[in-house]
Amino acid sequence: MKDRLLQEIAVLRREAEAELAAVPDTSAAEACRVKYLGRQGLVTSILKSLKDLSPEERPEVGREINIAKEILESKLADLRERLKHAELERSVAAQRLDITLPGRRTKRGKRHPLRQTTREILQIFTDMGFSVHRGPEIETDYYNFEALGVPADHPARDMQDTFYVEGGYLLRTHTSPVQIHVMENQRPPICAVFPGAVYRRDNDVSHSPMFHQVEGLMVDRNISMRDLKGVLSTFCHRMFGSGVGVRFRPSYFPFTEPSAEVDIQCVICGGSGCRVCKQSGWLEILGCGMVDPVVFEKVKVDTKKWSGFAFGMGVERIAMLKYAINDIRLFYENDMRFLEQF
Amino acid sequence: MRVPLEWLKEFVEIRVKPERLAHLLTMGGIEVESVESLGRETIMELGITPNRGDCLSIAGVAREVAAVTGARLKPRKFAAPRGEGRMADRVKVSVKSRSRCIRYTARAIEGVKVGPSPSWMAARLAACGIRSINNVVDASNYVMLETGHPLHVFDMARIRGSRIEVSLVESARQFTTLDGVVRTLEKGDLAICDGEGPVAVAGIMGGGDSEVSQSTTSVLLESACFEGKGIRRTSRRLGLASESSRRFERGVDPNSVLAALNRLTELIVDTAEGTPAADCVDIYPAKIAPARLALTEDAVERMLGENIPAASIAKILTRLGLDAKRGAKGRISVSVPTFRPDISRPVDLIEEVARIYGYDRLEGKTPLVCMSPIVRPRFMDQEQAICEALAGAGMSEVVLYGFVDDRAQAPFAGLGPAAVKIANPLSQDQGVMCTSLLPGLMDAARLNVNRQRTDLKLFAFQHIYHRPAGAGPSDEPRSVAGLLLGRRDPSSWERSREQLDFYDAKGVVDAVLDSLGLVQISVYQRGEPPAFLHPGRFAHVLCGNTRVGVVGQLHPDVAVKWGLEHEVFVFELHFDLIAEKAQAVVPRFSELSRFPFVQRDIAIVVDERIPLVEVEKTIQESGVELLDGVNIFDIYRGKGLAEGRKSIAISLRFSREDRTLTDDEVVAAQQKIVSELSRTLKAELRE
Repeated sequence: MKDRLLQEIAVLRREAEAELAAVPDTSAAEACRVKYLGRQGLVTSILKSLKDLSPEERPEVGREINIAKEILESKLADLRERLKHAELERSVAAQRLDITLPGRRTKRGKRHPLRQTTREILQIFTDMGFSVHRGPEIETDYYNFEALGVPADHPARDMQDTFYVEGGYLLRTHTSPVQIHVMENQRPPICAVFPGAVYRRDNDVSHSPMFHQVEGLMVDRNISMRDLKGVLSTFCHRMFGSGVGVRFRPSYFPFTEPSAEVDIQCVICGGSGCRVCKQSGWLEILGCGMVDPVVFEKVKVDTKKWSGFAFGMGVERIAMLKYAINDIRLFYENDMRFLEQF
Repeated sequence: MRVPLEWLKEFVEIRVKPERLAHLLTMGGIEVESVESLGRETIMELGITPNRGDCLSIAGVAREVAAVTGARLKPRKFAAPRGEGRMADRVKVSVKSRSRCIRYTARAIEGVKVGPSPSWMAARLAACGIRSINNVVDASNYVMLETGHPLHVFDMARIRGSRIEVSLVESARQFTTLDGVVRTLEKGDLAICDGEGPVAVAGIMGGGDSEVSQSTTSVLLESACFEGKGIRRTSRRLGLASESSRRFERGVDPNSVLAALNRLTELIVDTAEGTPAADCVDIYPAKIAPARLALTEDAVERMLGENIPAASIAKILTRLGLDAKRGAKGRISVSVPTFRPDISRPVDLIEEVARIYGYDRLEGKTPLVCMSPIVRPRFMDQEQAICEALAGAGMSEVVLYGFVDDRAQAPFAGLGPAAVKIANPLSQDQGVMCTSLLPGLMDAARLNVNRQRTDLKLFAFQHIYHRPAGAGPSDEPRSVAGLLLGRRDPSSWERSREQLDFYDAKGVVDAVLDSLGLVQISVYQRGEPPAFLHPGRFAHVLCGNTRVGVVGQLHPDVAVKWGLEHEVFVFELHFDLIAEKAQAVVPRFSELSRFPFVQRDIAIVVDERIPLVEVEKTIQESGVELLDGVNIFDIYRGKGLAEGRKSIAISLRFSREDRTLTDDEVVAAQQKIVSELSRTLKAELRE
């Protein structure tokens, strides 16, 4: 009896292991478990027949069948784990997405290139310690011209063809009147920039009846032309790259003396000459100068104590150069194909 | 100003190549816009700034060339040929307006033979862009280009009454200028008159009647100095700008008027023969003397930030033709010739020094100033926040002109303030300043739709303009407006067919309000609809108790005016009003609960006309303290519901801060809410 059982156990182990090795999936594994370890299973039936052995024979057979049971259980557990994993792998492998479909999101809108450029300009100057102020667009002749050294019938008025509005007002032709407002409201030292819309009666590829400027003013003790050059060179380098050539050349504005225009090396051709820079290799990007005593006199700033410089630049001009835009009117058409490029 | 180099060389030595000369002039403040070759001739095109009237001449440019290259000027003296007879016997000249006519000189030439100009003269004029007419007229243009003095030649036979009088027009009258246009001279215009009336608009253009023609045999030459502002006023009013008026406006040298007359006499006699008068008329009652200015080395250093020794300063000024004398302690006294009326103050001299010294030689530096914190305009942060929120909500920014078509703006005007009118618009469609950004947004929408772009989400953030009620400056508040049209998400692969509707526009407004922390105090209200909005699909937006804007579907009538057959959704908010409100909003922390909440979903059926906000309000006000949140998560109409009824699915959340809730409490709370809904709104619980 004992030997027969031991024999049976050995056979059972061999057969069970062979069977387990061939199990293809979890359901087959379960069938296998039931066959050997289930309530009616082969191992269970041997365990049940232990009671028929003599007490001397029982421990040995009992030990053998328990070993067989443990081994089978452990192998079965391993197998089930392996099969479960393989099945998961298979089903995951089947869950294939087209990862080239776009992600779900609200597509961001675009900021207008003029606003982006203005922001960039202001950022450079505020980084240098300039405050920001604004002034009205509908102005008086006094602020737009008179206080800036352009009395009535002055030839410099030709430089800016003006829109007039009812009530004796006009649309400011530049942001320079903000200089006057600021100096009327604040004693020096002053270090500020003034962004805003301006208007001139012009309309073609390079002129828009409305455009934008950023004006700047610095008034302090001992401000000289070298300071003007330092600040505006820094601006040009930050705006157009530290390698870009910058030159200052004499010019004329009624409200600055000495006056200068600032050119940067052509960003299109790199200075070798092209259509944009009219073969000169240079692009004019801003006007500037030392504040004219006439202006200081109007706002009662003592020129013995204070001196300063002012500058003004066209935002469209800078944006056109920066983004290589060839027609100023594109900014105001608002064609989405244009706006989406920035 | 076009300058042929060969002509220039008659006045100054030029030893540098044209390109080098162009560079030196440009860097000295006379901008050379181009250098072109025309046959053997090299011509520079100069951009002359309005302060440098003296450089509207070959002689003036020659002085600049001498200054920037260090070359020597070639002095040229012109003398009128000897003549016969006295001017007093031929014509009586008088100046009535001495403030407007600073100097007047004239000379007659008899026996001239009017004919074609010599080719050299015609060629030079052509190179400068002036058409050849005849030898006499060409001579006057030639001398103008050479000296900068505008000159005029009258047909002596057409001067009536042997009289010339420079006087102001006393009352409006017609006058035909030599371009054949009949113009109206008005009181205060300066005219050259003969015995019977005007023969020229002084300093601007001569008259057709006294023009030199092929049959002319005797001429009267005029060289004068007229006051610039008066010339400019008349020229602007007549819309008549000439080579002559351009120079007078910018100022001519009164002390070389006579030299120009002599040069012209010489040239006419050379090319058209004739015998000049032995003398000339010269009326110059108040002689203009050179300005005397004092400059110091220190003042130059203070302005430029660099020490330039007095000796160098004096040398630069001398090169410019100024008379500079050095005194003690770095002082320099300068006498400024009258050909440079733009130099009247020491600072003007400093500019001269700087530009000839070279702006390039001044080294840039960082200003030494006391540090102070920067300030930004009020609401700049709010502006930034709103624009970011709008971009985040998928809206793209447009920039609109400040002016619009008055007619296009009419539907949007409503009861708001009136628009500011432009007195001299470029065109009717830019006739008034905008009082709303919506017309501009509609224009942008139309343009895009016409270019096959039919899904749009646009916003604008800029000023609008209100005419003041009385006198005084206009109000320029800022507005933020948006327009939505077409599909909600055209690039989506799942939802690309969904059309935008009212709630998309409202959602964008919510995003704007949220960016300023205003959602809690904002409400949407019906009310009187503005004419441009769909009366059933619009809302007033209120913050606190202030109306801050509107949102809604554009009235189909209005959309059609722009050729848009689409449903267009718009909003416009007063930026300043909402920015103001944003100031006060500071978040306040409330303790986080450590106990779980309980969520119960219910569905109720109510009348279609009951707005959602009423349902929420009823729940909130039902007096259930445990209520911690209400969320509407579905609305259903149709099958299973009676006509005019809707089902609303609501998620209720209950909690207490001090302990976990019991089932009984939650059931009681939910019961209370349901009965309150049924009592107030006649809501039925949907099972």
